[in-house]
Amino acid sequence: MSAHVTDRLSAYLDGVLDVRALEQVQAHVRTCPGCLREYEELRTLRGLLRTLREPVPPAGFAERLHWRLARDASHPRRPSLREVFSARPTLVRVAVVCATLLLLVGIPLGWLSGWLRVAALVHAVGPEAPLDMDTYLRHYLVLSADRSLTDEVATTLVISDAPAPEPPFR
Amino acid sequence: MANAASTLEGLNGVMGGTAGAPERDSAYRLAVFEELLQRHLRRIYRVAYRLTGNPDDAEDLAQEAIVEAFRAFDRYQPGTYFDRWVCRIMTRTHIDHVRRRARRPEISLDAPVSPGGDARVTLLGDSRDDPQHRTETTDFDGTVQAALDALPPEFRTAVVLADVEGLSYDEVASAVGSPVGTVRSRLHRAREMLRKALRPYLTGRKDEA
Repeated sequence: MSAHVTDRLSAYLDGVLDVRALEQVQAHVRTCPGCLREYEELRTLRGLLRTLREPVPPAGFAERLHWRLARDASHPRRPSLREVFSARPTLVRVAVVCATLLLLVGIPLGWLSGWLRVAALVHAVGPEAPLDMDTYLRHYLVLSADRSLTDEVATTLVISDAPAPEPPFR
Repeated sequence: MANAASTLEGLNGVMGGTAGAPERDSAYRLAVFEELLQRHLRRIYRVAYRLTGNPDDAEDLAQEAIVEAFRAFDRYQPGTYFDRWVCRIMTRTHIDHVRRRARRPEISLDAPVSPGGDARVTLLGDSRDDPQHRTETTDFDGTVQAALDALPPEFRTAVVLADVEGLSYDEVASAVGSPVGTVRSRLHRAREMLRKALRPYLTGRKDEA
């Protein structure tokens, strides 16, 4: 007897085997009671699945659905970036090409023009570098945002002869 | 027939971007969508029910898929099967849900808390203990549904679309976004699992385990 054909019975049932495979399965099933029984069970199963009872939607299903759709229609949601990109694959390609161009061209250009080098230098020198007035004020405001009033301002006001803090700019 | 033709004309008008007030377009778009939906709602709900296995989740899934379809209605091609298009959205939504739920199991508000027992089940406020649902699931239909529920989501989707709904391999492949070969293999394995689970009913001997 030829080898069992259990892995092809499902495709045989659906009629999607090619002619050669079909003939092999047919010949085997005729002589193998095990495979024949399995085939009959699969056929019964498919028949049962096709005749399952129609489920009844819960009461008010259509009304709730209409309400949600109407709400969605009157307040259209802005699509998220992910949805925009997934709906338009071309946009993704354009974005990738632009980002690559920016990296490939922008970085060497920036370096050559000297801007990046100056920026890197300033960064390397860090807080020791001389500050201009604007930068000092910005830093001072940021730092004093979470300081309590009694720390510095009130003390300076009460002790009138305390020296005012010297700004570290030249 | 005349009704269908007018719907298609209207749909073409909406999708062709005819000029008009946005509110009017929006109301018209909703009307066209709902007219199509009315014709296919039974099937859409049926697939949702067979995929989820209970009325509450079926309603949530169907509603979510339909709202998503409505938002993407501009991409629907008039003349193609509307129900299959919505079912395609629904199967993907369902598989996403199942995967997300597997990562973050939720606590059921209705589950009985027994000492030493694990109250974690996969549904919040699930209807499995509803008297109506219990009656529905005690018959043969419920037994088949329980066997379907036990399948991995990808297998369940394949068998629901192919065997319950009668879609071809190509149509199932298009609905789940997988190659035909994958669908064929999933269908084979799903049927094998169902055959083993339901064997007493298939051979006509209910008393045999």
